Amino acid sequence: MRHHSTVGKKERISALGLDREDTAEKFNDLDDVMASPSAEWKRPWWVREVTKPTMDIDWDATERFDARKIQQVSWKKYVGEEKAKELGKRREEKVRQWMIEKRSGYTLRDRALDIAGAQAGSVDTSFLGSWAKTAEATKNEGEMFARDASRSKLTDPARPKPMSPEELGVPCYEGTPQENSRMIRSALRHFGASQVGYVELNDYTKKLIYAEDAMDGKRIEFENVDKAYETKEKRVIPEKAKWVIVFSVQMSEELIKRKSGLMPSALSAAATGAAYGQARNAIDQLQCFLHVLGYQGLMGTWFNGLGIAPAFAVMAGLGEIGRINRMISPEHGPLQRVFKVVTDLPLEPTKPIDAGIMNFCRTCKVCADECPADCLSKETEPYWEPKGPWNNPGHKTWYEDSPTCRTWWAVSTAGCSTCFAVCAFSKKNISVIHDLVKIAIAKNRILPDKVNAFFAKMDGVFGYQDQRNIDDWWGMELPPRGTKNVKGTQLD
Amino acid sequence: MWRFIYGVVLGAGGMAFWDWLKSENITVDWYVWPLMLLALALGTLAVHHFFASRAELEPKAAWIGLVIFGVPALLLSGWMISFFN
Repeated sequence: MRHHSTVGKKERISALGLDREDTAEKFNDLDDVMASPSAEWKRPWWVREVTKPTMDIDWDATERFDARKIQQVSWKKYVGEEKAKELGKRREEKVRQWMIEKRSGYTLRDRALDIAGAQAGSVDTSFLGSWAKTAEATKNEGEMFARDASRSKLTDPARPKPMSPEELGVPCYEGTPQENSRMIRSALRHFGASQVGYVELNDYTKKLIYAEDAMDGKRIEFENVDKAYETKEKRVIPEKAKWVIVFSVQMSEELIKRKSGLMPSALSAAATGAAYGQARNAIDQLQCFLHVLGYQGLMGTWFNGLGIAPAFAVMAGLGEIGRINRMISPEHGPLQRVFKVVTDLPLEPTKPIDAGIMNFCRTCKVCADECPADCLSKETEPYWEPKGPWNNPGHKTWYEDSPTCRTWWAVSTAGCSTCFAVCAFSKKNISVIHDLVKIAIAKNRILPDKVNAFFAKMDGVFGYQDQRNIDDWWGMELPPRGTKNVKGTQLD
Repeated sequence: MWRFIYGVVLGAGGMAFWDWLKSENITVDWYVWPLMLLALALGTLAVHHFFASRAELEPKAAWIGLVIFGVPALLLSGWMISFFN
């Protein structure tokens, strides 16, 4: 059917401003559109940009961290090899037994969803990009994963190596930092990211880049070279690659709340796994995108990447640090996972924010009260002293007991996200009441602690922390990825 | 669409109310106006939150919100009806 406009051609052209020579905002091409102020990242008005994060940082006391110290890598060392072995054995027995019993949340289909979500993603993360893994480098991974970097680029249908501008015989892409920032945000949203921010690497923020890689222990160093490279001992980031793209992938609130009481289920764990699986592809796509534009995109060999995720997320203003010692954003709360790619594409850094979240966490404590492993701090004020070697000192936060958290994963047989699920900021954001509460948290100066404690209490009264029926999830008709709480997009 | 319909109903209702006050020659004390606005805001919030919470798959939040915001709205409305009578 043809739709007739009631506005004439002349009026339409006039409305677009195409007939005015002196128009203040004239778009010549897409690059101009990207540079338009109207294309900037729109945050809620109560989110205040600040020069320093709400979390106190002592940069002198901050050292580059050995990523092998995190609990995901060194848990066995922290709890003892024997205990870890015993817990692992018992976990396997329980997993099998609960599948046979068809225990709600731990059935074969629940477990399959969790495993498939985390395993999904056609590539493993790599320092230089998946195509840089040659057949030689990947021969131990079997034929299926081997990739020949010398294969033809435009004609090979099987995942060809992307061409750089040099290979294509065209100049590299060039834009202002503002245009580049806008472009990367648009591209990453297309690849599945939720929020996107940028951090400039200086003498301070370089300390947030790991000193050693989590998986293979290779040193991560900065050198005055043109191209990043990798040897058997180290991975080298060029000094000119001084921007970090920080982005998040949302998790399904409906799925993560399908726990068994306070105990995580295989089904609730699938929310986390799927975000990592999606991120794996998004990271590879971003590295490829940058390569085709003529720039470098550098990632670690594991999900944790080249730097500390919550730290970069806070510095980029995606959110604030919370009691869970992870980033909580005003829009999505903790229901997202954070990823980073280092690049030499000039970007405009985004500022840290203050939306009253860290202050709210001082008095809320719901996550700490509900933590089944009792590994979150219940202290009102954050503190400087880390709980153990798995924490990187130098900032004032609520340091958590990570090995105890991980031990609980082994006991419960599933990755625990109870603290994420019960957080007062974990909402779908359809009712305006959530925004009203967030405005009060950000702006109220009258007895803020008492008001915030009241909001935390009411969160429970309204039933937001209540147990969901686990098996009902399989009969639900949810949107893709189970999320519908994106805020600030043009399709809201 | 719902916002549009709500705006039309609110506008039409407000105009009719204003005409009625003038035709009946009723003088309204100053403090009645903010209370009327409060009742309207609470009533709107109660209805919005009820349906929004159902859309969020939060039935308990929907009913509790309806009571917490709706009951004061009804009480205020009842008081105002008695005031105008």
